Amino acid sequence: MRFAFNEEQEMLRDAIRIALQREAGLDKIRSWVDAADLSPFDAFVVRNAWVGIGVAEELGGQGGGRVEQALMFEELGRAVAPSGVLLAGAGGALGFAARLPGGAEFLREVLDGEGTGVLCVPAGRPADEGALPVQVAGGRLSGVIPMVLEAPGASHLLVPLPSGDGLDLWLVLDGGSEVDIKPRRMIDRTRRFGDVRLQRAKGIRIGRLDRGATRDANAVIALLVAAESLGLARRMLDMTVEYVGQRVQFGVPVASFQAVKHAAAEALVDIEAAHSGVYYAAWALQEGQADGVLHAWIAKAFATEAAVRTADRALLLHGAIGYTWEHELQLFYKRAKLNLELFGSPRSYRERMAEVLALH
Amino acid sequence: MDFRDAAEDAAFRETVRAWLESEVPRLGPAPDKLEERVEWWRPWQRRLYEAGYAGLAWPREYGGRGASVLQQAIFYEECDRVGAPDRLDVIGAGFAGPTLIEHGTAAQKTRFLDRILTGEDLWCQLFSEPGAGSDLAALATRATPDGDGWRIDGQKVWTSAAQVAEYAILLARTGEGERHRGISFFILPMRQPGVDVRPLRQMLGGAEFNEVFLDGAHVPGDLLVGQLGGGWKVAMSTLGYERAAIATGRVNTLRLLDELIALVRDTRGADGLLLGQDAFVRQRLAELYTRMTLQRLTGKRILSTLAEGGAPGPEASTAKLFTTPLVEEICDFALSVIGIEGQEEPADMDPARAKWLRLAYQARGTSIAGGTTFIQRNILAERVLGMPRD
Repeated sequence: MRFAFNEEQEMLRDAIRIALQREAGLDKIRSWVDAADLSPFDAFVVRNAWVGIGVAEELGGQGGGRVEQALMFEELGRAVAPSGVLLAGAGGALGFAARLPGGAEFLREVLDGEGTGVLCVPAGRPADEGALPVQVAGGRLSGVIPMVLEAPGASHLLVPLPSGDGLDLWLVLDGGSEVDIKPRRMIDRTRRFGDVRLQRAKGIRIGRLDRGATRDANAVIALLVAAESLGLARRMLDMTVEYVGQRVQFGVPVASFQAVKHAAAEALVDIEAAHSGVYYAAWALQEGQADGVLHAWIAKAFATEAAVRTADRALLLHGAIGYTWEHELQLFYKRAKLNLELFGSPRSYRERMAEVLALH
Repeated sequence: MDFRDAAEDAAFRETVRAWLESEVPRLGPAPDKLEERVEWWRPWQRRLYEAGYAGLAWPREYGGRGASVLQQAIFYEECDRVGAPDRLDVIGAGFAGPTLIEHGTAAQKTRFLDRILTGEDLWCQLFSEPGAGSDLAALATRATPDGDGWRIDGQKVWTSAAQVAEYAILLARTGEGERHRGISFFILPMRQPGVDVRPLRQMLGGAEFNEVFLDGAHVPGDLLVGQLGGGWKVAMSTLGYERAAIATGRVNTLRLLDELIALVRDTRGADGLLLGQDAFVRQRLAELYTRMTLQRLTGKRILSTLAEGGAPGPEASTAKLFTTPLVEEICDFALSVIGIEGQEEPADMDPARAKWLRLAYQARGTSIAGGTTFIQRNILAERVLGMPRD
């Protein structure tokens, strides 16, 4: 048994961290947010071909697996980068489509950076529940899918429709008047959401995933959100420890007060537990272990709550400055709160766990 | 990253499992009273010794197996699985023995180590005092030169198993004034007139630990461990072994969760509905299950680091803080399912229920022992996060 990352994984993590520090620092993220234009980050992702991290080389990706993807998302969280394109594209659309033989080919342009793909599901629920209210007639799709992550600007919409106990995957290409995407404004301005209205939109049915496959695919998305929340929490704790070490009151750094130390220590306890859960789940999903899906739910439920607890501790320890628009903490704080609900709340995953535990 | 057993570890697990499955069922039930339980346990420990399972991680030259920490963990996992007897030699085999291997003289090693492994000698730890708990370096017990050895005077407290121990590891002051540098580490023979062991009843009524009064107790000259005045360094090794043991978990939380789930399945609420259908109960159980899983994974992470010869990372310092409230909450939830019947005198209760009550109280003890929760948070903040001392 070995828990540690291998050398290649550590190199990948460092490379991602350095690239993000260089090209997606907090000042840049803030300027993109202020201009309501995240496209510079989208272009950065394309230049680095990050959509392909964790996608097999024979499918046109960069190789690596769930551990590498989780490492990337932890770093994205640490940088509070606008990671939605990667979550919706690599984690979502590709994650579902690549489970079908030849499925990734339908999203070739997404992999090549010539288009952006999204998984067209309500982002407040686990993705394996699919896009419920959509009807199909004669190869055309109609219905409204609310709150789709990164829908505005997407070229490839992968719409999973419930079929028996699985999901039919339909690909809809944006461009015509049959697809109407209405942006939704979120308090976390580093993510884009939109309601997708399909009016007899032409779709291509690329295949069907059974229940096991859709659960696996959703588990990867849950894992990536968890990994990102872990990164958010680590950065918020770092920021907080630095701040309380500098802030002087009563003639001493406030970090010397036990109440302050204990809050920081409790955040670290949360974070290290989340780390254990995230990377075990990543390994288990990669290796097709029977407990991989359950552990992804565990990681999602715990890490996103841990990040929210850390966010509130960080806010309190920063004092009033942390409550301002000017301070960076707000970016992390809002992302942590959003991630809690994104692709299934802790409550929804705990209910799934309770089902597995067969309590009655 | 790979969580599977390596081939040799998988083979070790199979061998151990087969051995335990043939040996454990032959044991009768463990007596309640500690003195009787020791006599019941000794032959079992002897069988472990003869089969090569005592002192698993001790070096071969000291009678151990020289197994990796991973194999040691595998052994205890398998012990848990079949319900093998609780270890009564944790202080000897877990803390005192490894400390002697690291700091003891050749003669001390020859004289004491083998008898720890065979179960002939149980040990206890005389560190804490009424005035030296979290601040251990404030200890006041004195060792004064006396003939060929030392005369010990003072009082120790919270000493588990003192009434059945042959020897103690003892911290006493040999220097003047200086806090840490004035402390020496000794081996104290417990069966002598100057040692008076008085049981302390803990809040639930049982006598788990003792006060130990030292009034002219004698330590022979050859039972100083390490340098005179160098006891703090030796004690830090001992406490390191203690922390590692607590961090990797002495309570099997997986089994506790299984038992809690079984309890919930068997219980109906006041409304007559099965408790397992109640949304609050389902959420709470899933939450405890989540934390149990993460606690066990963190244990694996710590072992994996130790197995590669690395120093334990921050996760080792967080483990006790994560584990103790988890055990408390699992037990408290079980007691809430049982209801007011769970507040009965444990001796009058059904043993399966009394177990929850005892463990709930014991978990409170664990949150104090080996560095209280608040002290652990200070340590984490100062040593891991680099925050200033107050």
